[in-house]
Amino acid sequence: MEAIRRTDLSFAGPRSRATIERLEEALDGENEVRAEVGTDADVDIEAFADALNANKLSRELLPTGADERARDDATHRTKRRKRFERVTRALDNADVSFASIKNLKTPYAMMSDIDLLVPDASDHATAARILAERDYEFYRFRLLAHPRKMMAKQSPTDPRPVDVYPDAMWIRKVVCDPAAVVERADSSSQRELLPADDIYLVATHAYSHLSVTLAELVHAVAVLDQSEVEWSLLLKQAERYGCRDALLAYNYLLDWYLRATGRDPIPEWVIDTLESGAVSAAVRRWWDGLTEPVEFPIEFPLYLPTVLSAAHHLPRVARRRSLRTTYKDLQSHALTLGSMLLRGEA
Amino acid sequence: MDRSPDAVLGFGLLTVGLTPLGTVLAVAVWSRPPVLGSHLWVVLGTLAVGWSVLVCPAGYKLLRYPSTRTVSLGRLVAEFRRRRLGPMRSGMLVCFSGIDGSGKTTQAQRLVEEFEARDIPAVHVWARWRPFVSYPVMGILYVLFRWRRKDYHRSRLLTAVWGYLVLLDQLLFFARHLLVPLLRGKIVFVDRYLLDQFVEFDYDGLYNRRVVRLFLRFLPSPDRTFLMDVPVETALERKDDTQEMLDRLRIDADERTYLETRRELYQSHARELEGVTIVNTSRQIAETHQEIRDSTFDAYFRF
Repeated sequence: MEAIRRTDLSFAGPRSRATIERLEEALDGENEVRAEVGTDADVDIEAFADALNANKLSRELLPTGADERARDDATHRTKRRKRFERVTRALDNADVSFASIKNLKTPYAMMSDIDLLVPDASDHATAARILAERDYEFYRFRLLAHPRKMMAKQSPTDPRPVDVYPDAMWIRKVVCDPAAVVERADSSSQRELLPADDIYLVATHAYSHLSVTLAELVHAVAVLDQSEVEWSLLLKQAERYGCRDALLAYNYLLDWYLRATGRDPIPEWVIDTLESGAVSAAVRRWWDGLTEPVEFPIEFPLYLPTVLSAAHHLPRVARRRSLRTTYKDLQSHALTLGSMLLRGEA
Repeated sequence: MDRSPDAVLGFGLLTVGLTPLGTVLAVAVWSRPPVLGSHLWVVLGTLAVGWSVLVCPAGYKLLRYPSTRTVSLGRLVAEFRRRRLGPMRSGMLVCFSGIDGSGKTTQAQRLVEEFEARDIPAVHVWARWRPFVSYPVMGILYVLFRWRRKDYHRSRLLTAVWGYLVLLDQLLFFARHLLVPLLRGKIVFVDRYLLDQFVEFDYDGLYNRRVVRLFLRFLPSPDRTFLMDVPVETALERKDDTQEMLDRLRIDADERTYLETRRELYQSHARELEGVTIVNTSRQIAETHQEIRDSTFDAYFRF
């Protein structure tokens, strides 16, 4: 049975629609074909600012123009971009094999950290040395984090840390082969990911964090606007590492956004392939059951990215990775579930 | 940094993890007569233990490491090396060879300071050959023939076996002074090692290819070997006790000839051994240090 294909922008609530309108204006410089997007003149500015914040978007998108908050966000984004360029250039000069991940292409996306994937331990050590030479201090992540995952900051309150990932994993949920991702990344100093990998990593990351923000969703739109996406590679990764549910949940939203803004939708065969299996059926039920209008960020029901995802994901990871990695992966799912239950956020 | 949410979560996870196990145990101990069948106890007990194993480590870790914590570059890379190379190979052996006065000790000590400043554990070991297994043999030879080491080449038997005795000495020395720091992931800067031993053999006329092969086989290869090369004049200016040492060892040579001969031997053996970097140490100490430091850092960080 096919899931509902939503096509109307009114699926999103007024605040989200207003945000999408501003994002589309920002994207418009690079795209000619756009459908009219809904506007709501009565959007409350403070609520809009909160919505931007929740969606990891800069307050430069506020309709009031350049107030102090917008300037702060603009400064942050500029500083982050410059740091990103400096760090990636330094690593590139030192022949470190890496890729920049979760670097959202959404216009006005607010990202705090700079995420780099460095699978090789020796490269990781060299990267640490290079960062140390630039006065970075290192911090370990707590609970369940991979022992090689580190955060580099220039001061304890540094708002733009550099996170170095040894593996493509969210907490310890392994989502793909990191060496292959790095190998496929482009050869420029910034080592941008292959479009398919880029979408895949953002989609699985959002799912692991139990919600999708507009910044994360529009990232895929920006990627699709700029380049061809090898959907078969996405599907292959999702199948191999048991992330079909994550990709399907993200793709339902992406497909709606593309249709609602007059773009070409995701190819039907992609959705059809993802829709097979019991876990995908649960995702489909969630999607079909969503009550309009929805406000972004859209949260997934807790049982999907934890219990059901684990059932689909763990057997496939066990085939590709060690028993220890699989166990850590299981703990990662349990931790997400446990912490949400304990905080009463289930 | 506010640590209370982590502590609450950690304690909560421990409680959630241990509650089913505690409940099963409590019911098992206090229920008279037993309220459940034995098979059901096994199933419930297994489930409760499994649940505890799954949940409790996370709670413990949250309480033990409540928040992100700083870690030095040295500790970080030492851990990377240990994970990648294993405990046996996570340390690093760096050797300094060369004639007296070539600056081996100075450079080794500076490097120890430099690495330790980055919280990378390092140690300097002075490893000139000291007889242990061979000591009784040397004593007997001295008492019987008044022979010192420089005389052993007169005997074909001694020429053949001497190297094996020295190998045993060096293996014991390695086990006692080098192995433990290496296993603990330290960088060991050795002042004299294999190359020096081969030069020693050659100088005394006791060089034996078979023994050399055994040395290379049984003693770990250094990650970096630096031959500190310096003109004899400079070496004599830096160190004025060489003649005293020669007199003490009853070596019939003047210090200049002794050093020149050994310098040539060092150069010829360095060509035969793999991976020896010849460093000109007649420059300023700081200049030489920079070259050696960069090379050593590269070796440590690129593993």
